[in-house]
Amino acid sequence: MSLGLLLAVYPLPSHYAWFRPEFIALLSIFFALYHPYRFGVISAWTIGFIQDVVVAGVWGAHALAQAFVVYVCLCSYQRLQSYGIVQQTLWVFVFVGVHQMAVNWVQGLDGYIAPAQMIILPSVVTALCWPLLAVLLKPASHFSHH
Amino acid sequence: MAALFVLSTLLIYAFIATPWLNDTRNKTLAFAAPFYHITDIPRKLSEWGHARLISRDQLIQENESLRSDLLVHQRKLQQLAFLAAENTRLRQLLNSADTINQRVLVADLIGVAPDPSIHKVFINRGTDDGVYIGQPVVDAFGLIGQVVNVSASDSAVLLISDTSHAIPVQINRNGERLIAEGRGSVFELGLRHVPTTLDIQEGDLLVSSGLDQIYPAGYPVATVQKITYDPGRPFAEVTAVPKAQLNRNRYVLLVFATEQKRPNLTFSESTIVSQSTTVSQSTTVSESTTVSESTTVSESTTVSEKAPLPESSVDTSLPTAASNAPSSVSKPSSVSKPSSVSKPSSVSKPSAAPGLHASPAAEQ
Repeated sequence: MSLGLLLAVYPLPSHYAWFRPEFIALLSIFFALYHPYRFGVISAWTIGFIQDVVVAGVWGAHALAQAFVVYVCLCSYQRLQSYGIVQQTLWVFVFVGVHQMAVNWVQGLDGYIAPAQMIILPSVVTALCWPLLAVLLKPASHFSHH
Repeated sequence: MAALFVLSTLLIYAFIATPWLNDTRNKTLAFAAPFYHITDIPRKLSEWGHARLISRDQLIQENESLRSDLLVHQRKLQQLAFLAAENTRLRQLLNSADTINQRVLVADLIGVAPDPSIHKVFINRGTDDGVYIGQPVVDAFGLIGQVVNVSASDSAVLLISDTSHAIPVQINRNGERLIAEGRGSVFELGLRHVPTTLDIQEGDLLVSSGLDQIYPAGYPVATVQKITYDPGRPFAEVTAVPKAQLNRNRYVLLVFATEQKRPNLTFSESTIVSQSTTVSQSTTVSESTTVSESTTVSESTTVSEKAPLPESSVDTSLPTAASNAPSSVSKPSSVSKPSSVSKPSSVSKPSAAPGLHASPAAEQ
């Protein structure tokens, strides 16, 4: 997660800043799906709050979005676990889209409004990162299960 | 989940609508800064590599060009010293004494807020270096923004292009006052409430007017880019391009106001104005600010005035536009003091600053 935070603040050229994947949300979704008994909404909220502090945004924006997305994941982790990688990717796209909506809604309250296509863009990029993450982290999580 | 939702809502409300979290925000900056320091390491390494692996020929060439640059700037400074002295004399005639004495401190940029809609940068100077909330930050070309959060060793700077930021400016050519607000793009500022009859042209230089009590007067802010007159609207739509390189800086300058208001006239040219023609005009706008640097919350007494510009009478009743204004007391000075005997004449060098400053000194 610390690595996720580092990636979340890693400097990108301003042209590519909109393409930054939501690493924290991606990792949270992964942990909620594959470690549902160890990773709950409170941990998700706390990590979201830390992200808010680090990225100097509105406090509570990422926390709220994280808690909500992880809650939905935890409600449906059994079904999502059994899906294929393509289906999972599509669902991750939806989850991160909801996450982005929540974050931008809260930041909109403070006067920072992102254009709509700029909400979809990070969701797409994040969803495309999902297969990579699943391939990298799933063997490790299998190992820790047994 | 419901409890977390309520907690989030309360937190968001407290953050947006109340000042309760301000102290905590300053403290948590110390927690956030290491992340930016770590992600800054690759850049530092590459910079180190560039500095070490440069060829001798290149160094010699660079040295030569720097030398010639220095010569050019020194010539400009000579002229500025003369202008400062002349300004002092004119100011005496007008019975107004206060003027600029600003020292500056160089800060290294360690990070940029990752959200593209939030225009904040992080620099490696904090309260240990005397940085205070509301302190103006400039680069070689113009104003960048102001410090909004400060911890012991780092601080967060809100850029003038942030959507929550606005700065009172005036047109350098005729002294008309306007407000430039951020639009969420580093290449564009919007000018608010510009009457269609206002004398404004494309290419006009906008300088800070100092009426906000935060930014010192006379720093270049932006150049007017486009003016659109719509007969159906009461105001013209004007956009301007910031002078400062908001997204291309590695080093920025923190401007300190004077430590105490001095009766004698002190001049320090810390504005590095690119065109020499603007210098004579922008230095006529002066101010002196007293700031207590020990606390993070600054209290400043600013006396701003504009003498030789006929259109710009002193008007401090303009609302403070820039966000996060420190509590400040203001009094217009050129209005009162009709009989004060002005004795300022010695133009002294400002006290040695830890950072770099260019200060022409002239004896009268």
